[in-house]
Amino acid sequence: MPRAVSHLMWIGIAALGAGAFAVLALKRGETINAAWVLTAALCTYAVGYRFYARFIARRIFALDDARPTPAVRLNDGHDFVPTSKWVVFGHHFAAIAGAGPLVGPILAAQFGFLPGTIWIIVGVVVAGAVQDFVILGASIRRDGKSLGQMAREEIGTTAGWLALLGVFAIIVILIAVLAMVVVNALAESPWGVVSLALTIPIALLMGVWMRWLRPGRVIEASLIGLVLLGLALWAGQWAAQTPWLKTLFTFTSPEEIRSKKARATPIPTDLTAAQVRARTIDKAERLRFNNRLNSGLCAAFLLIILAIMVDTARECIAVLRGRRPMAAGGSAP
Amino acid sequence: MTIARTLLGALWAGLRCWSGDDAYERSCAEHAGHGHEMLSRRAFYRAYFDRRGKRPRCC
Repeated sequence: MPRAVSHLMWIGIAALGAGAFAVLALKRGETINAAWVLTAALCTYAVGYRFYARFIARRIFALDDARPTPAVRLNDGHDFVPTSKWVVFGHHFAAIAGAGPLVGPILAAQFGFLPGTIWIIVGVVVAGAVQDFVILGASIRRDGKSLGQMAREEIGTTAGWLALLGVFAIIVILIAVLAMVVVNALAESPWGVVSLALTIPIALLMGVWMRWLRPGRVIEASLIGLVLLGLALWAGQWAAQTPWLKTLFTFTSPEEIRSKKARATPIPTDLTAAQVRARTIDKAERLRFNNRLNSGLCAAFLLIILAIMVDTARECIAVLRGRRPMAAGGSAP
Repeated sequence: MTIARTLLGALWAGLRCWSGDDAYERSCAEHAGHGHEMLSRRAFYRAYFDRRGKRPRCC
């Protein structure tokens, strides 16, 4: 592509992203078309990938395609296995889509669309993705070792243990914060409590099905899981409408407990323990599904983007014909 | 009818490959030419899950 055309294209992408952010910042109203959020995100990621990621890859890590990775050099068929780049991408997609981006944006969203959007998009470009990239790059250069192992070897034993302790503390805090968010969301919602509680035995059943009952029948287990999840949603609704079950599964939120000095609800401990159980017992089932699920989610996400874009185009045409406003909404948030 | 059946068959085969449902059959086909003794389906998946379960993982 000619240099001038390339420059013009990137200026266009940057301007489009800036325009989308401007709409998010200046739009007053309760609803806004999700296409603006997507446009801002896609343009920012494109610019970040083209310029910032390239700078890190070339100037800081000096990545070289000719250098074999540990998976190739130490290929043992178990711990080190050369893998398709799309599978590797799926793993990293799962890693970045963790707890970190969940809580902040939800809190920020209370102040409007812009804070949450900036939090996620800019946070990923300058912090989250860079951190993953740096740790991954360093690990690739050191035979795929973990952060703690690298710190121990490069800095010293004490630093290594401190790094591991830091990682452990972060994980504990993350689980605690997630548990808190989940508890607040589920308090006084018997539907949510029942449906979510039922997902744990369902996940265990799927693991048992694929390991012992019908070894390796992934599609069967997936279909059973899907049907049971639908039933779990229905059961939650039924429980919420049944008086004695509603009483049984309605709990008090921690804020209310603190304000009223009420007796503590057992939900936090139960949920945290259940989360840990679900993450350890059915790990074989989780491992198998992670990758397929991620690639499936990526495909679904792309389809959703396309659907939204088509919807936006339809709305634009409607506006041009004077039928209705671009984004309906009443009072300002 | 034949085209529809072929397409459905291809879709089903693709789904099984994508989900890992046909891992045992693929392994059998791979080892058949080498004269290796194949594990039973149950033993194959038990070994498969055991091996993967022991691997360190993130998230």
